[in-house]
Amino acid sequence: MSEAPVPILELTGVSKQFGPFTAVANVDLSIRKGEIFGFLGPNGAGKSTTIRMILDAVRPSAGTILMFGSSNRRTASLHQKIGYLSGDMVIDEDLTGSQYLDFVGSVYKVDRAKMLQYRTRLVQELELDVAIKISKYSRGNKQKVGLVAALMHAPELLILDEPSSGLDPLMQEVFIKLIQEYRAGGGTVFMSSHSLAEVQRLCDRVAFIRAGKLVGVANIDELNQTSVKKVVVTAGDKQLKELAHRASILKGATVGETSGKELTLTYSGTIQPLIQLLSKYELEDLTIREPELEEIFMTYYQTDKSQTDEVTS
Amino acid sequence: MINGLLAKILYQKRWFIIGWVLGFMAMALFMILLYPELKASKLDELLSGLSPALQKVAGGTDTFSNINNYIGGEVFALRMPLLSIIMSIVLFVGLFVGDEKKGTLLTQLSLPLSRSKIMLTKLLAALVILIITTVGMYAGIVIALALTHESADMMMVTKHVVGCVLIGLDFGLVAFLLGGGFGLRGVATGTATLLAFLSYLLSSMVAVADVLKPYEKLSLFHYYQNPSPISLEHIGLMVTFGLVCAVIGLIGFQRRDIN
Repeated sequence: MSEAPVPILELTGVSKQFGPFTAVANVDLSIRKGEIFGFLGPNGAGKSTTIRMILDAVRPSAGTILMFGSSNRRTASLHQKIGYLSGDMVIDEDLTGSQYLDFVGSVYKVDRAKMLQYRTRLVQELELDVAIKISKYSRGNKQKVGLVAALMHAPELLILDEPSSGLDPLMQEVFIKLIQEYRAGGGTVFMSSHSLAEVQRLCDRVAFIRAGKLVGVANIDELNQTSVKKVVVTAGDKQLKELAHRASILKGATVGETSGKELTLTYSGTIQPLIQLLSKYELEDLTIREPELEEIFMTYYQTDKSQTDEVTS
Repeated sequence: MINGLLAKILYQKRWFIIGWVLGFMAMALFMILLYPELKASKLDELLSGLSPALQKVAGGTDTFSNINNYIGGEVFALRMPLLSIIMSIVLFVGLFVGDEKKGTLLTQLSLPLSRSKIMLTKLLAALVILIITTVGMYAGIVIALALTHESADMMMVTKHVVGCVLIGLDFGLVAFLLGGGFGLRGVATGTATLLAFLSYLLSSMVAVADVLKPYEKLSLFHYYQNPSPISLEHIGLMVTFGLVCAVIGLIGFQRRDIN
């Protein structure tokens, strides 16, 4: 039997305390070579703190982080193989784009000619004028400089923290294309995001973090198949109570909050049983919409967990 | 073509360097160009009529009798070291606190540069900048001496310049220790400036207040001024003080979280 390949990035029991505040609690992650791994969660969930710990800017209170099988503290050698881009990345504003890229390129021990060639191609594709001072760039153009700096040395691992947040829709498409192209060339991506569309298009696997705790890890295909819907029903008080009770025993439905004449529930699975149930009541209003990413993930994870429990029992 | 972190810092600080070189040059020029007039005004004779304590406060009774005493007692007694300290604190805070505050330090840490390499390169850049600014001091003195037809002991001038760079460097390293080493960004400038002020106050008041005598060695100005120009022993002490601040700061930086 062949041994499992060493993960490109591995976090084991990683926690971070800032005084009494727990920013990240006991996170385990393993990123495989060649995959695009999404790291999702709402603002303040601990995504950026985790990424800063991976980069060794913030030191974990507990746990270990391995990059290419070595401790992530060996930044001088390990960061030769990574590229990093953050949505709120700050780059030297008093340099021109070209000067900044020259500086970044000078710290990598790679084939200079090859790097310059790739850099030129990226600059052209992103329609970036590198002769301009970075302070004069728009936020999107600063992101482009950061993206070129992260990619030009052809890293083995790309770490992206909310990478497309400053880009307009057109440039987001170019960004997605570049990432897909990078992966096709054998690269691995670890990216944090709160954009469902971006994650669905790019990622192979996703992890969801909430309040510093990892909720779970799932394949994006499985997550997409859950086809969760958020349903908001408006009806009379008596009808609403009965509907809430019936819905709670309907397979795939999770009853949420009741507010006045409104009942909110999430539903996964084929739509027919839900429609049949709702048709028995005189509804004043009905809204069915795509839920938030967190709701999809929570539904998926609860369903997945209950299925596992059933199998176990 | 910007090749490496040192080149980048020096390039980014080019206007700062030019400004301070010109500033030091202007200060030296201005002070020495005044010398012939001050010498002619017989200020020494006036000072000799004061009490010994006041004479000490004024820097002695022979300050204006010859150019060497004037350079030591007027140009390098307060004005040049004060400029050097201000420049140094601004420089160190900018390099070690400003980068973290702006967020560019985090970007640098994502590159294949170890924490120690980043810090040591910045320290080296600060040292290079301090040394470059001495060109301004020398140039100002040499031009002014030529214009006033005076001739000074250049070895003595060199010792004053060394002392001046060292006292600036030491207070800059205090700012580095607090801001870079321990991440106390808010207090780095204030504390380094306050220490410089208290240090100068202690050294200047010790001449008239004997009660301060037991504490005079706590002041960095004591080692800078006594003797004037600075002795080799005191150069060693000031270098050691700077090294201790640098080493503690580096250890602190290695261990802490970067924002």
